[in-house]
Amino acid sequence: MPLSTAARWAIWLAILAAVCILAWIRLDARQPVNTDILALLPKAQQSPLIEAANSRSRELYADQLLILVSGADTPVTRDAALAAGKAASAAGLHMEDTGKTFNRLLRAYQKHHFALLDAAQINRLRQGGETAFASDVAASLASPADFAGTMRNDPGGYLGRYIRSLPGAGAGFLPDGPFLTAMRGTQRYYLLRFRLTGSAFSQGTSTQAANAVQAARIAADNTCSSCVFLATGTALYANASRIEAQREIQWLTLVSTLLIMGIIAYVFRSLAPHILAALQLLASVAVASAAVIICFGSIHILTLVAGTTLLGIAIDYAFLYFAEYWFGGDTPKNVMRHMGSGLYLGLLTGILGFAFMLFTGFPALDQIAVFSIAGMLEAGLVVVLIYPVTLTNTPKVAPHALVYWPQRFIHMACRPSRWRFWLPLVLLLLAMPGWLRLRASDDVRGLQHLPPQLAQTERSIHEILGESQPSGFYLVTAGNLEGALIKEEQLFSNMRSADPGAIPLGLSRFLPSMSLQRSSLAVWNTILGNSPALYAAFLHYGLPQQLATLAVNDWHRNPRLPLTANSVFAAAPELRDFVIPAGGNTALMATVAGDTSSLTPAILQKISGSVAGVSYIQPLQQIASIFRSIRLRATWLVVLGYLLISMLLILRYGRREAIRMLYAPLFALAVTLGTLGWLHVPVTIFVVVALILILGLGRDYAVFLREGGMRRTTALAVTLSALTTLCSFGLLSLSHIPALHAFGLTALIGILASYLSSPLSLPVLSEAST
Amino acid sequence: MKPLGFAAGALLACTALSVAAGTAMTALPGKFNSAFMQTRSIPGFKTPLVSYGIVHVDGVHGFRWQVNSPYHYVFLMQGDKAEELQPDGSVRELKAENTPWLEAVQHIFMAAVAGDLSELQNYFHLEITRLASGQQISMTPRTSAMAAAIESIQLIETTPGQPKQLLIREKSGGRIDIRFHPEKRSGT
Repeated sequence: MPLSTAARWAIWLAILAAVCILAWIRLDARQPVNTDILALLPKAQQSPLIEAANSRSRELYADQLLILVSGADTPVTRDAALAAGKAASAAGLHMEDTGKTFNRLLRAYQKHHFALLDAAQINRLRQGGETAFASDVAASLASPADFAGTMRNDPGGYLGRYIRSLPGAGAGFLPDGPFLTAMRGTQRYYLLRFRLTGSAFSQGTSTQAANAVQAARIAADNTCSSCVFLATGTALYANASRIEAQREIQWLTLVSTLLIMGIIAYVFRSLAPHILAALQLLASVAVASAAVIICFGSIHILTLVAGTTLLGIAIDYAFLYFAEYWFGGDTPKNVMRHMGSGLYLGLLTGILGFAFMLFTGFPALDQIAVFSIAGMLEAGLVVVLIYPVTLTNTPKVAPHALVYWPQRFIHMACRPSRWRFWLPLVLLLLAMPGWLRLRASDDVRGLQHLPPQLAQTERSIHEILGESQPSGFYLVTAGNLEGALIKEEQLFSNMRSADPGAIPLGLSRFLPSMSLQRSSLAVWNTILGNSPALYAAFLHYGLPQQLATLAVNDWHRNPRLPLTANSVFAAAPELRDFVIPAGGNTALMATVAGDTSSLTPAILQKISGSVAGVSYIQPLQQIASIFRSIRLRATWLVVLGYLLISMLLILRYGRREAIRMLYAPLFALAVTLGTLGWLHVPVTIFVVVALILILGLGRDYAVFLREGGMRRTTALAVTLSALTTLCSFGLLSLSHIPALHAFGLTALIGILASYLSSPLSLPVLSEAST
Repeated sequence: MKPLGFAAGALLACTALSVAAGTAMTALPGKFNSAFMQTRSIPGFKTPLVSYGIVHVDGVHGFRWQVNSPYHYVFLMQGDKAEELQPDGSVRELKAENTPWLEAVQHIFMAAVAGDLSELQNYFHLEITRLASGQQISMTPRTSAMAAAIESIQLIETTPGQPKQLLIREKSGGRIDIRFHPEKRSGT
């Protein structure tokens, strides 16, 4: 029994409302739109420990924000830095007070200074005994780099050397109140460090960070107009990327919509298709977005941008209906009968094609697949339920040139001619060298758009700090913290042997192992427990006996206990970040600070092999490896999906017809790949996704044409579909986001090739027909 | 990996002290050879410690601080490298990693050798007082880390580039008094 008009509207609105309400319930209000490109990566197929370490490493890097204020006049520059710090703090950022943390840590070190000798000092004092100690004291007293006052608390300068050996945030940067400061040439630099209160990728936090930096910049500029203000942080990148993406969405949507409306207006010369197409598009995007939110809690910015391309796909079904309704020559109630089979088959194969993307194990593709499937279903639903009850009057638009032209093109391309054989062959021959030039790329960095100005600022800051980003980090695992610290000390010792200039950074640099501390205490016990020998050694260098007595008394007054992890963590809670929970075990993260350019990943990897339980983790390499496996998996799934669709087509049309129908999309794919090779566009996972779409659209064209025969309405619908899809995908190739640019460019070439080759899926017309 | 912020702070007051000491030592003319008598007063010690030695400074060979009595000790600094010859004969190399202040010292040092006191203004507040013969330059640290260790530094010159006395007052109460005199008269 046919549905009434009211029933059709009711069903459609009920489905739309249910999906939207469900999405509202599932929506993650903290982060409705996600901008983190790494969130689109699959959960790593590795141990939970490495996953936790990767996550910690990423958080530590992403959740910090650096501001560097510099100028030639020290007092004015310091005031500017203070003003910047206050402004940023007032805007909600948490400024780290380096000085306070350091003072707490210093007190802990002073209390346990007898336990802090390093291995070399222990060896020296063990071998040289009291004489070596007396010599060290004498050197401290003579050195222009030591002061008289340190003699009371640190005879020999051991604590001073320990403190100086601690790794710093930047070469030559010293604490100055809440800042770190250094001179570089004639410029005084003040480094301010902030910690974000939320995820750097969330809209709220990244906007807050950008506003705080802007407030700090204005405050610094008002205080010192000649000072230079630099800021960097992941949140700033995230904010810039989001603004850029939003801007792109706006103009892509606007231009795409205007182009599509222009085409509709020219072809159908009526207001009705505009309203109905807009209804279908809005409903499709709404349901697609809601479906993604229902499945994932939030929608990624990349899915949203890529989803704008749905404007070009979802409208295909509308065109099929409009072409048949306006120019089919039959009554409105028979429109579905003429185009229904093409619509359903196109929808089925399209959904099948996208459904295979759900098996790639790649959240990015999962989101795009859910978005596309839901959008296509909604688009189909609008055509099936709403169009028949809204387009009920017979149209009065006479067919014009553009209505006839597509049919003529198809007709001409299907005439018996040797060009039908030679032209594709020539194109294939031209494409072949391009295939040889194709290269794959799985580097995640190549998919992101980094604003050049921000990237340059980040480079400048790292240059001033004398840092370069290491390729990864070490993970040191042992049964307990002590075992891990011992292994880390061994690792760092090996690292220094490989490169004496290396600056290892890890917990053991701030908390020596108990084993090392006990050795330190033991050697002091030997030296300071033998007063007569000590006095004789001091006398030998002409040092007053009172100095030796001072050291001996200090030893006896001191608790002579090792420094514990708890006291270090109480003084500097940030140091806990080095420790990764590892079930019953303990794992420590460690890395190399400073200029790491001489330490290649291969060298760092080799060093890790020298100590049992130590591994060198390279997150970006891991991600690239995951991308590669997904790219390959996606390719095989496409092949599998295509085989399945082939069987479907064989069932419906027979083997001979099905092969002909599949030939055109495969030809378009081959030409697209060749063109990409010629254009030096690397094959990324997003290019593979675009290739999946090309195959899907090419297959749709073949199905529509095969179902519609040589009807002018079918040819018109396919042409309009190709034109509008070209508009929307073509616009994506103008995107600044490299992933979308590659996606759009591939789709642009592929759809053009698919449309132009679509007549190849039809049999050659007989002489009589032509 | 986050480079720990406070770790830079771990360069500590004694680093700042070292910078200050280097600064003071390098507040010398373009080329300077002299003998010195160093008197160190340690808080809580009645008798100050006195040592004698020589100092050579020039732009090519760098900075050589040599104590000859009551024991032998040498401190050499050239470019960004420094090493000590200790009283027991052992040599201790000061690694750049452990001595980030070296670069700062060297920078100030060369500026001082060139007679450019304006460079010192980035580190100290300078106050110059004219004396009957020569001048006195009083320096107080600008940065709080340095100020936590150093009260003041006074450099007395007979003429610009001819230091006569260097007096460092420490916050701890310690005091270093270095008096320069021609090398041939040192007797050391």
